[in-house]
Amino acid sequence: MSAILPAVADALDLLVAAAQAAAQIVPIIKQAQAEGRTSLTADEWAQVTGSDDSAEAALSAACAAAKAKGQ
Amino acid sequence: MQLSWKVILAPIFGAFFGWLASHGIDLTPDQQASFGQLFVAGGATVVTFLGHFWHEKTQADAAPAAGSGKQGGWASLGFLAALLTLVVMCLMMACLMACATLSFDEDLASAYTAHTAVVNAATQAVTAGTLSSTQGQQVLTMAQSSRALLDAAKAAETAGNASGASNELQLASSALSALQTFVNSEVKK
Repeated sequence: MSAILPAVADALDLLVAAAQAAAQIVPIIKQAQAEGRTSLTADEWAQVTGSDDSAEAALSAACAAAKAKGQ
Repeated sequence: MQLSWKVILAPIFGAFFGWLASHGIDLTPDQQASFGQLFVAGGATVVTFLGHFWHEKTQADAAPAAGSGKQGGWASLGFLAALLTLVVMCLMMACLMACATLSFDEDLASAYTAHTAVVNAATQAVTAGTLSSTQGQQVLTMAQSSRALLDAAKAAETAGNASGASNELQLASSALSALQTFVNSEVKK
């Protein structure tokens, strides 16, 4: 049972991460559609690409940390 | 049996589609049917893998001296979680893509977001120890390649090259699918 709880916690973390990433784009698209725009503003693009940059940096850091631990 | 599942799922889907409508996302009946099929297919995948991991656990419990017990036991649930995440992400993105018509920019932004979600899932898996640093590095390399294609699509669109942008986006989508397939293949191990 003690082994299950961390796995469940991991699953919840992953689901939250995926939901956050997917939900981020919805308000941007809704805003663009509400304003009758077919293109995104520079700020909106910066938000989208900035999140992706942060995600890649986090993965790189996680890999380095795992390697340091010998995993 | 199938009818009983439909009876159970119908109110759940109804509530979910109502929630989407309250947030300005109205799906047509055809889109709702497609989403339902996707949901059932994704659920079947998860159940299949859950059965697979349960089978591995029971085998590992039966032969703990074999040495592979830990790898195939509850530790595999982390891999399952990563797979589940990808399935949920695909469902959410499919729902998003199905709603109304998206402009090229919105389509491209959705691809960026799907890319972000895959990278986030891989980060969580590496942090949890369910993906090794080597596997994580492989995911990162593939993610950087697909990101370069997304950037190329955006640059082509900015330059007014609509067909080039569309081609780059298709390539990026293929690269993203390959990345998802790779992560799924590592998840199964």
